[in-house]
Amino acid sequence: MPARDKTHVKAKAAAKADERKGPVVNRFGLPNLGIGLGLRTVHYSHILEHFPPVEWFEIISENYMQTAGKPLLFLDRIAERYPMVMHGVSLSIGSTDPLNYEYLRELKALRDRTSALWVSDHLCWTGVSGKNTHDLLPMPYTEEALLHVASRIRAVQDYLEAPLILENPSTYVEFSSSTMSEWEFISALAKEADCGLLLDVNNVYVSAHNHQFDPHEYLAAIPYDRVVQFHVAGHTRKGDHIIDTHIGPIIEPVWELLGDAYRRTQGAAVLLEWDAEIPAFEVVHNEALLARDFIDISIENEPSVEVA
Amino acid sequence: MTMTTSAPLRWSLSTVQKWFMSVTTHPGSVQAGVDAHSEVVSASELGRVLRLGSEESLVERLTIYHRGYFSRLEECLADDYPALKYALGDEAFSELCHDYVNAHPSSEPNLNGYGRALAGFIRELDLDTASFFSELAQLEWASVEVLHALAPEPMSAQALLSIPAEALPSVCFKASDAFRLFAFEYPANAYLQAFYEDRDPIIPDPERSFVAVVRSGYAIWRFDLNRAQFALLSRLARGVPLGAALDGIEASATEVQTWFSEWTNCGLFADLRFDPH
Repeated sequence: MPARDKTHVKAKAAAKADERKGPVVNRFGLPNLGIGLGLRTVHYSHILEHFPPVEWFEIISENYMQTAGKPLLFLDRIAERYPMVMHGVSLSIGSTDPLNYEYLRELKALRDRTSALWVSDHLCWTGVSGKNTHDLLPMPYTEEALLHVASRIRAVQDYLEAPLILENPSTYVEFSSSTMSEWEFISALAKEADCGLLLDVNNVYVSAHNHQFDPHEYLAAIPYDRVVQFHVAGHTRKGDHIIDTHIGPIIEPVWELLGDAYRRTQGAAVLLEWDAEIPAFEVVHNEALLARDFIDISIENEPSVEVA
Repeated sequence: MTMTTSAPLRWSLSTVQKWFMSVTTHPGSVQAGVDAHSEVVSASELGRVLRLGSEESLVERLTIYHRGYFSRLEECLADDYPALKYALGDEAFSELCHDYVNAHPSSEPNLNGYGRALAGFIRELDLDTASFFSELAQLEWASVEVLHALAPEPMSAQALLSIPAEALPSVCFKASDAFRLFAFEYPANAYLQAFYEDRDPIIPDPERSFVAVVRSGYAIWRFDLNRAQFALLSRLARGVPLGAALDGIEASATEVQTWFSEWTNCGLFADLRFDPH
């Protein structure tokens, strides 16, 4: 690690997180951070020059793992000033390969370094037999898979000493052997493993289109006392299906799904992901802030539910 | 084409994942992947594994994962090797990536180190001027390596200046972990620099060259060396004391002082110590 006063940095980051976090709004006691952005390298310069008033940043965990160099120099400076959350893409919680404890060790170290408020990843697998596709591959929604994933989530949570927050993925195929819907699987899994949820409403929209289900039925089934965070993002239509490309801006029906879901919570952090053809920082930030309209409308129009 | 509509196959999760992975990472195509595993499930029985209307649309959906697999890794290699991509041309680079992905599937949680074997892979190919492409790849990869390497606070020029002249021959240097040194058959750095300056470089003729790559803080330095500089740096990087390292180096004291000034300024040395012998 670069020579620096780590203790001082961590204390500052912890204080910063305490200042910025909102009321406790879920069963895990995790704060509503407001509206955040995914931290992307093309925006480093702008952020470090202007320190724009973004409420929080989400980092892709793996971008700062297996490195001791320049990415961490940028990250340390940004993490000193903003609340951070970690979002992974390689935990491969659904894989039948053994859990990678070296990966978890590095994940935990990164969380400590950034004082990240929580760690999330996806309900998926990324590879098997030691090979990583770096894709978020679909699960069959069976009893066997549920028990398998739940036991791995519990092991990860024991290791991290914190709840794991799992995101629903976008999928392009469904398995014939599935005995339950995705929303039934996720709800049952969250309860079985006692984990948190990151509800990506764009992924709900994409999968609903690809598999011809009602996204509102999906949203109605989610245990919202476990929802810690939302994702919104853009996508790309390709013939009869939609690809989750994270190219913005967000279409109105996805914003409306966010509003529909958000009103069922006591408030949760909202994050915009924009990963391809990334425009200037202010464009991305302004797009994210549009969430306020839908969140505010939702809260004004609908009573919140009790947290269990 | 007619799909079989009999009962879903109740595979174990492990079997499902191995089949799915084999099909969506098959070197040829999804269809070839399905055909290659027809003893497990035939193309007409795909509906027993995946839900959807027809075999064609199932193959199309699986192809999203197949295309994503190869394009994601090619994109990663293109990020790390832009000059190599330019030198080979888009089509040849894409073919190279496809072959590399099949020969070197990723096993790491991230892609920071994915391209590390590409230079060696190229050297083994039956390719005109493979040595040049391999050296260019080595040089581009060096920038990736030093970007991720630990670069400690560099030794200051003052640290060297404060040493009495009579003690200088016994000084040993510790090179930064974010430092790489190369001797090439081709002028790879000149080509790379011309590429970055949009000067449309062409494949050069063989010409011996020596290059250093080093990172200090946010800055990455990449510069040509002459033969004497390379010889001296090679010895110093191995821990040879300065006096012995200078043996046979054809350079004036003023020249050597200038070199050290430049090298310390770009953070090439992390530390120094005195050789007890």
